[in-house]
Amino acid sequence: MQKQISSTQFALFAFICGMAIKMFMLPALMLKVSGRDSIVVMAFYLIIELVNVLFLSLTLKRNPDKTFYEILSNSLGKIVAKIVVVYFTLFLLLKLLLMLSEVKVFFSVSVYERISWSIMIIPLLALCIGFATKPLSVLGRVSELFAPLILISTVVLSLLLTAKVPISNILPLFSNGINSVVEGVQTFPIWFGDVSLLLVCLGRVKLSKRVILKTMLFRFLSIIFVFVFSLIMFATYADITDLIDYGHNVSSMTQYSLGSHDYGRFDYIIYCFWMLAVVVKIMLNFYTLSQNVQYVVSKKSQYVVPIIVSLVVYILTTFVFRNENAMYQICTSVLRFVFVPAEFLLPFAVFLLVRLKYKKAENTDKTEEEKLEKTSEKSMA
Amino acid sequence: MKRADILLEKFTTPDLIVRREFSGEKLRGVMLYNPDLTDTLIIQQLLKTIESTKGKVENVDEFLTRFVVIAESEIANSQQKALDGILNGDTVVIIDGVKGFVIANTRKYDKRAISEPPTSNVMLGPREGFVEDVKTNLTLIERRLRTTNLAIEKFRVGRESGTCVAIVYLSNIADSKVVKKIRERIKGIDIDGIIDSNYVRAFIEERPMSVFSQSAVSEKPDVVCAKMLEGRVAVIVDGSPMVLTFPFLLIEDFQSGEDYYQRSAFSTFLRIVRFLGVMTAIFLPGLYVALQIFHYNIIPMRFVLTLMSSVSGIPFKPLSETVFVILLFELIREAGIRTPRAVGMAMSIVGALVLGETAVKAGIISSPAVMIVALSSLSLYTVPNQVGTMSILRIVFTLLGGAGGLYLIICGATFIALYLTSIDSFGTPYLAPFAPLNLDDMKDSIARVSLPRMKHRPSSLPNVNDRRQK
Repeated sequence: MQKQISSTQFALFAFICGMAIKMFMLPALMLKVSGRDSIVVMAFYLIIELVNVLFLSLTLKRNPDKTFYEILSNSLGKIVAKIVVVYFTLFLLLKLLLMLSEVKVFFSVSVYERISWSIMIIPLLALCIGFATKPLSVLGRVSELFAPLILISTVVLSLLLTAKVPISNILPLFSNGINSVVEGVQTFPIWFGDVSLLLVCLGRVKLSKRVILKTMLFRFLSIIFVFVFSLIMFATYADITDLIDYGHNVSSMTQYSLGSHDYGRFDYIIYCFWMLAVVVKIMLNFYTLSQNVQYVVSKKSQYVVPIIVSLVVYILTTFVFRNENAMYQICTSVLRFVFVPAEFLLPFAVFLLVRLKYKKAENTDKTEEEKLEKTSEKSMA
Repeated sequence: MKRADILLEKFTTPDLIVRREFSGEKLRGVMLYNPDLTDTLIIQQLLKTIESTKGKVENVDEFLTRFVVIAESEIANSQQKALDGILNGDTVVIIDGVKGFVIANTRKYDKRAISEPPTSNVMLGPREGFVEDVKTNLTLIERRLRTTNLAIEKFRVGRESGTCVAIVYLSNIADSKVVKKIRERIKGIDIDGIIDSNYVRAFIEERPMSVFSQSAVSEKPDVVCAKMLEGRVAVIVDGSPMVLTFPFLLIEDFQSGEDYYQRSAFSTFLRIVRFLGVMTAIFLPGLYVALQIFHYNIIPMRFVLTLMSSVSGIPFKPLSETVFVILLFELIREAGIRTPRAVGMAMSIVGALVLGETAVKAGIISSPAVMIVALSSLSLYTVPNQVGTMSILRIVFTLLGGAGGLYLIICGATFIALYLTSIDSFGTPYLAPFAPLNLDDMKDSIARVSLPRMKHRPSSLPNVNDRRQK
């Protein structure tokens, strides 16, 4: 079975990672902190992520064969590389716990009357183990399968909503100067930085000619969707932010969508299709986490590491961070600054490492060429 | 004649085999044949010719040339080949003083006439179907693919059955690696008997225990030939009208031979209908249970009121009720296949009216449940080759929907997607051309473009020549 992913699958990862989670609880949380200016905060982070995607795509193009771990160990040495990967792993673990917490909140608040998460998380973790034990190309293929459903559901939800929401309610912006924006930017970094998840794809992509263009295009599309949804959410609840709590999400808006009174909450079913994006992102996160752990312990084991990682995640999410508000507190605590390099600087750092190596290799080649020329001139003489 | 005695000793009941001695002017010998499998008229003619001949025969080649003017006759030097000949219905001729055996093709046994296969009804297109005789089946293919590139390799499989298994492919299109793999797997079969192509299928498929089939099965020669033209290899088993083709893509079962005999727009429409049918068959009962137990707020108010009034008083919970109705339908279906024709009509009435209508009137099951499961059961047959798989999956998703609602259905669907995307059929991704996405091959997937636009063979399938048209 082919183990490499195609350029299209890589671009789809960029699309899905850019969209999932940001259209979940984040808009409601942002509204509480930044009010109407949340749209500026969202735009700020989306642009940074787009730039990071560009760096990652350039790294991929320049370095099609080496994996993320090989780049780190060749450039920094094995010990420093492992330290970096451990730090990265902790970030991924926090991110995964956050995503699982939000999935739990969505299902327990919006979809079910009551839910036993300690049991319901088991199939999700079993899926994570399933994907982590297969080549990345399997997740790539699944994302290709789910992409039309995710795309159609996103478009349908947008169309259902825009008819009823007064977008002009988003104004005025900067009513408190830039304070709200600064507050929002420094509160929510953990919810962004998804480009780092794609580092695991380095060395595993079968490149096509237009990989950079494709990836940027797909990512830009996800930005449009996130921006539109956030705009609608912020415009809807801009005046009533006090009524929002952790648990409000896009589905609480879609109850006002066209047809829901006559045809029932069919938007839940459409939203469940959209949820496939979150599922793919959780799988990719878990896959990267397992790969990191395998690299750190220097042990390639198809089943043992993913099973141990899933047990750790299960204990943390079910017993340690049982309360969904606890995850919010942790992600908005001082930890949010600790992981900023992993979220936003790591893709750029890898790009720099590859570029430096490339330049060094180029210089080495040039020096050798010059030496050869001199030798041949001497022998001619 | 000693050689004849040695051959007859191999049989548990040698009386089954006729031993007919003959002699010409300078020619003596014996014929061995099984009268149940041979055309005795041909044997009589052969005997007449031999017994009226003058002169001696120096070797078996001369005998074959002068006397045995029958197609597919050959010379054998081994006892095993001679025995195989008798078992297949050939006549083995042993000439006194001459080495070797002459095996004359005198086979004649009753076989089913070529007719429209019951599993593949069409409104347009050819109506010929494969039969149980491998020779007839090969003829049906050879009539459609009249090319020197048509390769037919025959194997004898099964210690007791000695079944003829033939691999058929186009050597200028099929990938030799695929052919080699199939050949090796067939040669590696060590079993007492092969009764049907499904026996061989289990040995060739990479995951024989899987719920999902990894080979296509067809009773129609036009369909098999079309698949061979795309690079697939056909496997024909004597005694079975079901011909296998490898490699296999899941999308193949959504395509019918008839799709290519009608307009492309209509074919596309029908394929979409089949796809929706499969989704309905698998997910509808599970969704019904999930919505009723966990997510009734998704159901429109008017339907909720109707549903509540229909299910009130039903002693079963929605999950057990739906599973019960599904099992009831499965029972009726199975009984419908096995019931003798004489009582078929009466049993259909019992099944449909007595069980269905009476059970609803008695308040044991609700009419929405019957309607949902009936719709799902009908939808199963939009893709007949996947009926078994879909029947199992719909029960699984019903249980998931009842246990955990939409969340578990999503998890179940993702698990199925994980499984299907991780399996290959002879190196071909099972879900091609959707995953991995291949835009060129999408011309003949759910959509079907017109034939002049299909200039290349599907690149998802391994082949050595991808050009179909200029």
